[in-house]
Amino acid sequence: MVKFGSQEWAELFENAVNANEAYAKAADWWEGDFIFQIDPHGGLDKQIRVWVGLHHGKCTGCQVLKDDEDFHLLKKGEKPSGKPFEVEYIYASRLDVWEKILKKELDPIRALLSGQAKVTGDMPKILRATEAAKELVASATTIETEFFD
Amino acid sequence: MDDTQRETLFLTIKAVIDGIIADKRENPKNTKRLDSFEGRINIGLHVEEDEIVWINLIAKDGEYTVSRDTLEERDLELIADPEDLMFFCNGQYSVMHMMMKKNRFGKRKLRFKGKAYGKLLALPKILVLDKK
Repeated sequence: MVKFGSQEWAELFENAVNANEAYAKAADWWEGDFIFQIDPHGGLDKQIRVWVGLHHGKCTGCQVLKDDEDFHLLKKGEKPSGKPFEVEYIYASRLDVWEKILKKELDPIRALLSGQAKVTGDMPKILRATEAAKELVASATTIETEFFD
Repeated sequence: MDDTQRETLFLTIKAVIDGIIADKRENPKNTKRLDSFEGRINIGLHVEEDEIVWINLIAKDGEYTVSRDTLEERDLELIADPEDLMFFCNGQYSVMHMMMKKNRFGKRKLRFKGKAYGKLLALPKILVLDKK
């Protein structure tokens, strides 16, 4: 078991995404990195931010940001400058909601449309990628994850 | 659903509709239709068995405004589970699917009131993303 939001978890997630053929197919056109933002709840007393690099159906890297590391949310049409952690989307939710999503008790899209999760970024592009989003989460559910009590 | 979740849902749906209109504006073929469509539409987001979150969409002079609550004077009233509405907006669910199939609450995925059938039939051209 690995702790959710740890660097070890992030690396397993990268491997899981890259092993997911359904994700590779659904996201073969996708370009745009994410920040997964885990907001404090229960045993988690500070926010965790995980950068997830995604390019043409592959995960190009996954890294937990340190407290002093920041990310840049690209505006629609803004080209990445090459600096680290330039993302197109932030998917943010409290820890307990992430836990439900990763335990397959809550669909990531439903989490969004029940106000339990929030996505920031260009909506039309992500609306075209709902299957990919589901497969991204399906990849995460293959990891034996320990949550904060 | 608590107040924070209602607000997050409203902002998400507003971002979805605003984003779709902006995306369609990028295609000049849509300009005439987007500029000419006018309507005052109440949209009920059926979030729980006994809870509907109301928002409204006003289309006038090419401007599209999404706001909270209902309009007193409206042309159309739509009710849908926001998840079904999203799959309608991304083209995964057709109008026929929305009108014929039942949602997770056992109701039609899209219910409507009002006699502005022309506006109802025009909605897919306004609110459904173009294929890319």
